[in-house]
Amino acid sequence: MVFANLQQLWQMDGHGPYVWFSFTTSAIVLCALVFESRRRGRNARALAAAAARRRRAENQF
Amino acid sequence: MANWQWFHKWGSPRWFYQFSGRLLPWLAIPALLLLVGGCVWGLAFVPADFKQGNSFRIIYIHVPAAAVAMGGYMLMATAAAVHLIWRMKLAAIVMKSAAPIGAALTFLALLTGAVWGKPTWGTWWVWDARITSVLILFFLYLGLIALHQAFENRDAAARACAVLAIVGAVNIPIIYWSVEWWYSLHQPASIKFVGESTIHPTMLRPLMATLSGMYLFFGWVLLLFVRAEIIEREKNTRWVQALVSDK
Repeated sequence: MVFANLQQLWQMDGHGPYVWFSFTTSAIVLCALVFESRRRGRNARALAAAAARRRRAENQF
Repeated sequence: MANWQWFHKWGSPRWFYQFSGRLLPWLAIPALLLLVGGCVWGLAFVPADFKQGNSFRIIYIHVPAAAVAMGGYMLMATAAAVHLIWRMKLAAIVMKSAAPIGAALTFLALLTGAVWGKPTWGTWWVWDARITSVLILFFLYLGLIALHQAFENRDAAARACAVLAIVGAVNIPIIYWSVEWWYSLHQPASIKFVGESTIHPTMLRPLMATLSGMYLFFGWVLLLFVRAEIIEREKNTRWVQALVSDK
């Protein structure tokens, strides 16, 4: 590590707030993309399962 | 004709859904390893830049976000052309699915660029050619999302979005060359397609890690969006109903 301790890594000679804000925001946005894509997948599967149940019920009568 | 079979296969949502399912772990695991590893490497193990100090470390997220935002747009424009020429359903799905990912990455590029600009240039924002053309890219992505939602008819929406995506592709070379064509506070490209990169190898290696990680991440999330859209569109087909009934 190029920093002597974690305190220096956090502060980065006064640039810490800029650097850590950028990386934290990026992590949040990238995680949000993954969660949103998975949420859409779950919703689509739920819709398809409902359509399959409807079709089975129609076939029974 | 046999040589074209692969092309027709790519047009089948069912085949693509099954094929992409096998690809997902091969994209997700390297993407996360490269992104996390590259960021830790760049944040803690690379010396500070002699001019910019430690603020230069923002490069490890800013450049990958900006590069993949532009690459994603080119992929979207290519999918748009394929949809217009061959009426391929899957191309329309890829085009629609790439837009929110591209918008999020362009937003990140703009935000991290502004945050990097403050300690480096003394300002959050300037209306120069590079930054303004990236802002236009962000609006193009948002415009595509809005345009798709504005249509009731899915095919009409895909055609309109395809035209907008293709026309908007003219902005990509403008973004890339803007720092050469006009005076700009933004530095020229550090990684060159032709010629030697102007960035020191100790700084370049973690950048290549986060850059490749971001491309893989884009591929992974794009497949997740595309697979969700395929299931949604094909929910009344037998193969999807068999798929969801099995689970």
